[in-house]
Amino acid sequence: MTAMENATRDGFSFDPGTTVMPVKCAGLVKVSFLLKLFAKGIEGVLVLGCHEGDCHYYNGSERCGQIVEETREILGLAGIPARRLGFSLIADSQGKELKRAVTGFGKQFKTVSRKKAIRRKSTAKGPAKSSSKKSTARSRRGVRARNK
Amino acid sequence: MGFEREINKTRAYLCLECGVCTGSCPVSRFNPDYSPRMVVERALLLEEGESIHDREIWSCLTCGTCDLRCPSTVDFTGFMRLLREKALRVGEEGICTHAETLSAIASLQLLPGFRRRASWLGKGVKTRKRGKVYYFGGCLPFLDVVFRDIGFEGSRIANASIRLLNHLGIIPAVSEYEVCCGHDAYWTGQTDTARTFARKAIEAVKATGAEQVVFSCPEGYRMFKDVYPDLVRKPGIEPVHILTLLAESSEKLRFVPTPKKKVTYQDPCRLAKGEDILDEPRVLLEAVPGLELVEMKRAGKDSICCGSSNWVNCTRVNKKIQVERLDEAIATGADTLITACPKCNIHLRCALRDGDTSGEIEITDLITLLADSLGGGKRGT
Repeated sequence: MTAMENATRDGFSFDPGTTVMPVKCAGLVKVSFLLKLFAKGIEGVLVLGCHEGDCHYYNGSERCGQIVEETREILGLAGIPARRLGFSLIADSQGKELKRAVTGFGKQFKTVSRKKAIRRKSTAKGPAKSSSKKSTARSRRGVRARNK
Repeated sequence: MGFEREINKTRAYLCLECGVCTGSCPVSRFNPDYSPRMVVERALLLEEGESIHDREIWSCLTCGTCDLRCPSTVDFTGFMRLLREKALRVGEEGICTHAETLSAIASLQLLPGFRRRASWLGKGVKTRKRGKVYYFGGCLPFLDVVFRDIGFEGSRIANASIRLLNHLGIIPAVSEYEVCCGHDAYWTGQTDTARTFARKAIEAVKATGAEQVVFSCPEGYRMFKDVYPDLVRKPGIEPVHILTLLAESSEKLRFVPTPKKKVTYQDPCRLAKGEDILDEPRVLLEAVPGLELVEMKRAGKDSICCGSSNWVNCTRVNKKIQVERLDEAIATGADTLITACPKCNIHLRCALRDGDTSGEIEITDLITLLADSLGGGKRGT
């Protein structure tokens, strides 16, 4: 969380389509947890953890790495591009690094965001379309993006 | 209000309270709080609310031993399923095993535009996009990822099935639009979800122009054969289990002699109790030279469930059932325990790894074993 505070103090703000979900340790993130986010139609999830060897709980980051790999494999089998699940290791003090990771990860969803912006304008006139186009989703330490 | 619909549908009103079900139930042996007889009795006598909030309704393995033995032919597993359906409506649910990973994988398959990758297909196997025969692999490739730590190889079973079909001269169709068969959703009371899966699965199979679907998984087979006609109007597909298909044309299969081995066979509930596929696996095992089949004390229709089902409620009671079953297999003196259901394989492997059993035994899948014993000679065509 401190990394996020550092980043926001430096003037970084998250995309409005992003939801931040703090967890105690990245190692607590479960495969099912990540998969369920995708099953809800969320475009992408970025998992952030501490550097390896820097873990308060001994091996949280390594464990999280394994979980992300496993999830990516399942996503791959389900036809969802593995790049939609991001994973970065960032230390508390690295606000800039967090900014870089989040912005870099968010780039792949840019077109989706723009489409959504257009849709938002159009919904002001006509009825809303089905929620098949989901927003940009990025997340951090813990994860997750809202769909609206 | 009460359970009229459930009672009438499953003929529970015929219950004599004789207790044969409880005597046969593998869960009741280790969990005195759970008794099929009491579940029915409570439902018949008590108000709806008291029964529905009972945690024990999620303990049933739906193995069907009670159904087989009930003198009044009460469909107890069906009753349990309807009870769960009702419990879900009031917000109760079973405790999912593996941190809900398996149900999350299933819900991923309901995403609009879901299209799986056929990356699990091995090099030597022949498949096609359209054809009269379809091979339904189901969740096998996904299980591969989740259960790698206990040495389970799901895609190997799927590839072995296709290899065996190729050997018989059949090149099956496979589809990227295939989804989960909905077995777990159905038996945990999520009938609507199961119906969605059923529609999607049938649609995917029909899109390949197939009339016959071959299964290597007993659960998918049972769903297509017995449950889909209830869920969907006129599925219009003929399901067939690969073991039936292989046993029918066993003269076409040429197995090479394997090193001498004593094996024992675990009957999956869905095949043995539900579909009467009892002789086929035994015929096929005997056809492999070098294998000697020894039966466990409780085999065939009397066989015991692998201890856990539908990915809900895996407690120490389930572990005890598994350990007891493994001990029974070890007592036969067999070197290898052969299973025909991926879930039996997973559950027994898990219990074996915990090391509470009286000895060691190797666990192998029947289809993989058959495919590996095939002669490298010419194919069936």
